[in-house]
Amino acid sequence: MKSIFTFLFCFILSVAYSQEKVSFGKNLKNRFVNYTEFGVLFGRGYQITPINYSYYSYPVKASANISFQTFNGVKVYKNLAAGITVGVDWYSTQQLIPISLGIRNSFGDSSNKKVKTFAGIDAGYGFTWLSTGDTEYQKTRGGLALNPMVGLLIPTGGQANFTLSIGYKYNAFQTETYSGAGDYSYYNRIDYSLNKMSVKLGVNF
Amino acid sequence: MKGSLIKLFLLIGFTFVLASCKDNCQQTTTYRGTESVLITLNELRSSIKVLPAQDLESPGKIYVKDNFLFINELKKGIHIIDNSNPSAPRALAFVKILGNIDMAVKGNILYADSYTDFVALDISNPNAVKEISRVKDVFNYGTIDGITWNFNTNDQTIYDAKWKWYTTTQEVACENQMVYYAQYDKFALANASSSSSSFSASGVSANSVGKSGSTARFAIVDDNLYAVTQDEMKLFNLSTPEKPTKDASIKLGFGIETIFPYKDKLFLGTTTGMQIWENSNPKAPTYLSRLDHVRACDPVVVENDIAYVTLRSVSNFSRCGAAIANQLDVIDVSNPAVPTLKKTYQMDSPYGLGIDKNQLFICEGTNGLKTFNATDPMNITQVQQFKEMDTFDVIPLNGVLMLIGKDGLYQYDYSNPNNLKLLSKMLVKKTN
Repeated sequence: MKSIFTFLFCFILSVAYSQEKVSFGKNLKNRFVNYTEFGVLFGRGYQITPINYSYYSYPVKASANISFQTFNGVKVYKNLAAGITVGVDWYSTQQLIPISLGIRNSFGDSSNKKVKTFAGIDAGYGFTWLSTGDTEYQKTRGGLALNPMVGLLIPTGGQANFTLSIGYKYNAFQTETYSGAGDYSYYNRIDYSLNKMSVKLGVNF
Repeated sequence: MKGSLIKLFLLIGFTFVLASCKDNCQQTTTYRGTESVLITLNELRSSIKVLPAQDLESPGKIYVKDNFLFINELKKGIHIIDNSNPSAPRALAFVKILGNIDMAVKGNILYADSYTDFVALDISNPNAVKEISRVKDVFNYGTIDGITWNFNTNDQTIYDAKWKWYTTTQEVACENQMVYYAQYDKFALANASSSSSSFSASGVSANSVGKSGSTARFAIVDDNLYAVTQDEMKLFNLSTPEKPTKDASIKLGFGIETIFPYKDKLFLGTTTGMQIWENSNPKAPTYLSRLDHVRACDPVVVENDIAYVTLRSVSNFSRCGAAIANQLDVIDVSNPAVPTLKKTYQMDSPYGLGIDKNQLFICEGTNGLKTFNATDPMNITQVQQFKEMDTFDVIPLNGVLMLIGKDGLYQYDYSNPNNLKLLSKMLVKKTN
């Protein structure tokens, strides 16, 4: 998985390099784009009556989780930047590290000091490296991570912008529990599909 | 300004759409539970049949007589194996006996339990085994492999259960991870208690009698067959081998697991300790002494007045209770009236064991087989360990170690105590 990312990253860089007839290293500083954001993931979940306990059901439960991420990329075409997003999402059952390929596009003249809008999407894989509970009897596996977003770029006065964005965030992962010995042993697998609304604040330069 | 307002409205609209996002979590549980099995007496009593040799599926106890090896297929019957060449055992036939767990052989007669009944089979021709007599309604209940069966006298039906894997999928809450336990069959749960475990019986009795593994509940001394249930010892009179009759039943107390005849004594393994019964009159054994230990599954073997008892802790309440020890106890029984614990050795998860001329063999369940030098009972040393097997009982006899486990039958040559040689294996059929 990691090697795929490395390959794609190199591919994007080479595309970026070939598109403009200027020295890559010299202009890297001008072309570098960073979005570092911190925010909250809002969501809710409830349980449909389980089959084994027909009298049992959960009420709707709202949740808010914290998320941090940083996008680092280069401009590949006009205001379109491509790069890699690394983040951490603190869910109540699991901490995920999504590593994604991402693009960001800001609209409007970049030299204009007015509030501008941007849109972006990250797509990758949520790793469960921060999970410490992996044993013979308990395993976690990551899964698809998706995060399209739209937002505002609010100039700070200098080269940077504050960002305010909302988006949709999807994370999938899996936990497996196994009670080993004994007559009544069981395997238990839970497939999590988390659908959240992300609201983030951050900086961009 | 107008543009900004539109953007703001769009943003608010997005927010509302996104706020309706809902998590979805699916739980898939695969668990081992039980399924009821009902057997009528009619079915039971017409069940005995000789079938062509079959693969092992879930082997139980083993019994050896002359060149024949008998392997119980849990509650289904007995495999008859020609073991005249332990390097190449040959399956001869399978005798279907519903509810069979234990067996013993004297002469050409195989005695076996079949749920409530005690049956005698003529095995002089292993390919044409015949039922020759049956003592009806001797046993009322029994436990094997964590499941207890019961005989209900009202509707004349045997209530049993079998293990089964179930898979269920359901939507669960993503936030509160529910601890999910397998749904037990209420019947089996209520009845699951102490079960067959291990013991080592080297059936030292009449010449024509075979030898059982350490988990045996049947033992033959002279013309008497002792069958222990969880709380009783039932005596059968074999003076007419073709027509065994039931003698006395002796109350023993709770949690009896195995029986081991040694000299003129009977050693009983129970979940709470070892009992010694005086058996100088084989028609009427009498209680002599006991040595209590922590509650555990415990097989026993005796050699040279030293009893070797293994205790196995089980994390599961349904077997032998909440045991905490995994050990080998060495007990001096030179004065059977006062057995004394000499020493305790730590073990992993000991099941059955066997001893022959100071060579001690201990089944360690999923940890395989361990061999020990027990020349000095106070200083027993491990010689070898064979892993990658799931073992529960052994019979060491004349240099050939017959080892039975969940994976099948293994035979070793132990004539060189320091280096056991694998002679053959007969593995269970893989069903997945």
